[in-house]
Amino acid sequence: MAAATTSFFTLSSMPTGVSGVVSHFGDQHLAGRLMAMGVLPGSRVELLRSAPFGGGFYVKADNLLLALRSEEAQSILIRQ
Amino acid sequence: MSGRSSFTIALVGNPNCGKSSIFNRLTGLNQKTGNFPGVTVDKKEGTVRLSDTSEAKLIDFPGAYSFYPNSQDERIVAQTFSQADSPDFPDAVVYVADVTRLEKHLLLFAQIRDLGIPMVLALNMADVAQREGLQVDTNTLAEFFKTQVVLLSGRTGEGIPELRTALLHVFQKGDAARDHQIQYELPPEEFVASRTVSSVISTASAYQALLIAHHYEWLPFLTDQQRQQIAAGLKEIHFNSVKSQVEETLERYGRFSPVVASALHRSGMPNGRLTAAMDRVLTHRVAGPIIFFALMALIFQSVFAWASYPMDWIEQGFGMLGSWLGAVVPEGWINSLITEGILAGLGGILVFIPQIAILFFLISLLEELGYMARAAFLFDRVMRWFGLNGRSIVALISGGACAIPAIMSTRTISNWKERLITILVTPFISCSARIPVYTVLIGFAVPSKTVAGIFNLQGLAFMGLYLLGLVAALLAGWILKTVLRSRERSFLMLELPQYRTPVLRNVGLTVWEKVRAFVVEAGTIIMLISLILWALSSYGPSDQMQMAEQEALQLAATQQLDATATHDLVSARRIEASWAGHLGKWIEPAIEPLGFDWKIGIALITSFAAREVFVGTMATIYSIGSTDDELSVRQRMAKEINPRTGLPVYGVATAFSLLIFYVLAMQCMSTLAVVKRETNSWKWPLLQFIFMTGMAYLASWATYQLLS
Repeated sequence: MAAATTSFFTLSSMPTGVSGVVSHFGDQHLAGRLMAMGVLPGSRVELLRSAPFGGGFYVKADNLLLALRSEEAQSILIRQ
Repeated sequence: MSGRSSFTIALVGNPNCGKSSIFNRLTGLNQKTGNFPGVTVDKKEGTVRLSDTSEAKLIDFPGAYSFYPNSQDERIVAQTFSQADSPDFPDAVVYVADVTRLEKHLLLFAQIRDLGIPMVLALNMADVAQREGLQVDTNTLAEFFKTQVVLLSGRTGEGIPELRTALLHVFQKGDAARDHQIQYELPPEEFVASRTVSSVISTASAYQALLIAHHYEWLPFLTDQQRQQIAAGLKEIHFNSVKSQVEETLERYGRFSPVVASALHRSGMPNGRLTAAMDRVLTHRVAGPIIFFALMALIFQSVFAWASYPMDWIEQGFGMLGSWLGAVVPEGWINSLITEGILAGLGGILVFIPQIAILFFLISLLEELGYMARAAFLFDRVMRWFGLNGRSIVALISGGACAIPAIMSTRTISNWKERLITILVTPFISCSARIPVYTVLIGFAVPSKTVAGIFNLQGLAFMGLYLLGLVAALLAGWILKTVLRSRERSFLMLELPQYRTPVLRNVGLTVWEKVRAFVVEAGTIIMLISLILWALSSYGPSDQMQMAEQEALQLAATQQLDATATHDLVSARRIEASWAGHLGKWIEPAIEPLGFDWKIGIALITSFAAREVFVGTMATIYSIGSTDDELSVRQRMAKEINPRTGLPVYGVATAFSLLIFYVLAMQCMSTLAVVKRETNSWKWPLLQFIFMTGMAYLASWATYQLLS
C-alpha cells in the first residue's frame, strides 16, 4: 500500500473549484461525525471557497453544503 | 404502552430536515415547552389529533444526525432512546427526512428502526422534489424498511392528512409494526458488549444495550454502581467505542444506500443555483462580513424604529389604567400596592413585548432563511480567538433581544468550554432591557446634536454603548479562554442548509412562544421585584417614617406648597426614611467614587433583579405618580442638585459612569437562573456575576474620575 498512499491528498490542500472523491479519513473521531452528516468514502467533494480571517472552508459534498474548519478538511483524504 | 395513559409519538430527524414545520402543522397552537427529565434542553410538546376520537402526544426532539451525539441537543435523542423506561420513550416515531437529500438523512432512521419502535417515515420537501423533477418510489422504501412511508411537505401542507392516517394506523395496530427487519446485525465484539450491558441493566433490545455501551459514561439514568460494572465489563473485552461507531455507520449506509438509490429517479438537476449564487456574495471573504454588519445595523435600527409606537401605546395605556384605578380604589395601602407595585411591575414587563417580538421576528426570519449558519461560517475563526465557536454568533445576536433565549441557543455548541464561555459572555451584549436606561441617561450625557450632516450624536452614543458591550464580551471571552483549561476537542462541522423562503407560520409561532416565555418567566421575577421594591420604599422604621412625614408637612406648610407639591415632598422624604432609603445610604460610600448618590444606589440595588426596574425606581424615588413617563423622570432628575457640591447630580460624568455601569454589570436574576440551569452549578453564575459587576465597577470608576 506504500505506493498507493502517494496518490492521496487532503481536502484542505485542494484548489478551490476542483472536485475529488473521498477515499478515507485521517481521524476516527472526525470520521464518525463527518459520516453521520453524510460525507462518506466515495462522496464527491469540492472546496467552494475559504472563510474570511483565515478560517475554514465552504465545502460541497455530494449535494450537501458544509462549513469545515481547516483541521476538519485536513482529515478528509481524497483520491485522484 | 408501558402503563402510560397517553400515546407518545416522537418527531425525530436530522437538523434542517424541516421538522419544525411538520410539528407546527400537526399541532398548531396546541403546543408547549417543557424540559426533558434530568436535563435542561427545551422539549417542545404538542397534541396531535389522529381522528375524531383519538389524539396523541407529540414530542419534538432536537435535530440529530445519529445516536452518536455531538452536542447537548443531540444527546437528548440518544439518551431518551437508550432508556426503555424513560417517561419520554415513545410509542411510535415519525422520522422526518428531506427527500432531496434522502441518502444522507436515513442513518438515524435505520438506528431507531433497530430499537423495534413502530415508525412512520415522512419524506419532507415533496414540493421541492417535484420542482426538481425528483421522483420517489415509496413502495420500495416501505418494503425495505418495513414501515409506512408518506411523501409530504411541511411548507405547503400536502401529505399531512396522509401522515395523520398513517399515525392512526400505528396507534390502532400498536405493536404489530414491530415485525421489522434488523438493519444492523451486531458483529461479535458489539454482541459481547451488548450482552455485558444487558447483564447489568434491563434493556428492550440488543441494539439499545449497545447504545448504552457507547454512552454509559454520561447517561444520567445509570447508577454509579451500574456505570462501574459496565465500565469494568467493557474494559475486559477491550471494547473500542469510536471504532465501533464508525464501522456501524459504514455498515448501515452500505445497506440502505443502494435501496435509496433504486427508489429515487431524477429527471432534472437538483436546483442549488439560487443558493450557490447567494452564497457567492453572502459568504464572500470581503462582502460577507460587510453584509453581515449592515444587516445587524438594519435589524437594530428597525427594532428601535418600529417598536417605539406600540411601546408608547402600552405606556400610555398603563398610565391611564393607573390613574383610573388610583381614583376608583379607595385611598390606602391597597391603592398604593395596585398602582405603584403591581401596575408598575406589569407595565415594566409588557412595555418590552414590542421590541422582543420584533427582534425575535427578524432573528427567526434569518434562521428560517438559513442565514445563521452562514454567519457561523464567516466568523468561526474570529470567534475562536475569543474562546468562542462560530455557532456562538447566534447567541451573541439573540443576546441583543434577551440573554435568556440566547443562552439557551448555545446547546448546539458541542465543545463544553466554548459553550460555557458563550454562556458567560453573552449577557455583556446590550439586551432590550437596557434600552430604557440608555434612553434616559444619554439625554444627560450627550447633547442632541447633528454631526457630519446625518448622524445624531445621541444615536451614535447609543451605538457606542452597544459596541462597548460587544468589546467587553470578546475581551471577557479571551480572558476566559486563557484561564479555563479543556482537553475536549472543538468542532465547527456545520451543515449550510439551502436557502428557503421563510415559512411565516413557523416564524410567527416562534415569536409567540418567546414572548409568552418572556412574560411568564421573566415577568414573574420583574413582578416580584416590583412588589418587594414597593414594600421596601413604602415602609421603614415606623418612628422615622412618621418623623419624615411630619417634617415634610411642616416644610410644605412654611413654603406654602400646593397639594401636588406637598404630596411629592412627603413621598420623597418618606422614601429617604424607608428601608429602601436605608439600603441606599448603606451602599452610598461604596458607589460614591463612581459619582452615584444614595438614590442611584437604590436604583442599582433594585436593578440587580432586572435592569428595566431602573426607570421605575427612579420614578418612585423622585416621587412622581406615574412611573412610566420617562420624560418627567428625566426632568426631575435634571433638577437634582448634589447638596455638597451644589452642582447637578446628573452631570456628564455621573451619567456616563452610570451608563457604563449598566452596559457591563450583571443585573438580571433571570439570566443568572438560566445560567445556573444550563451549567448545572452555582459556580458559573456566581463567577459571571462577580466578573461582570467587578468590570462594571472599575470601568465606571475610571470614567467618573476621568470626566469629573
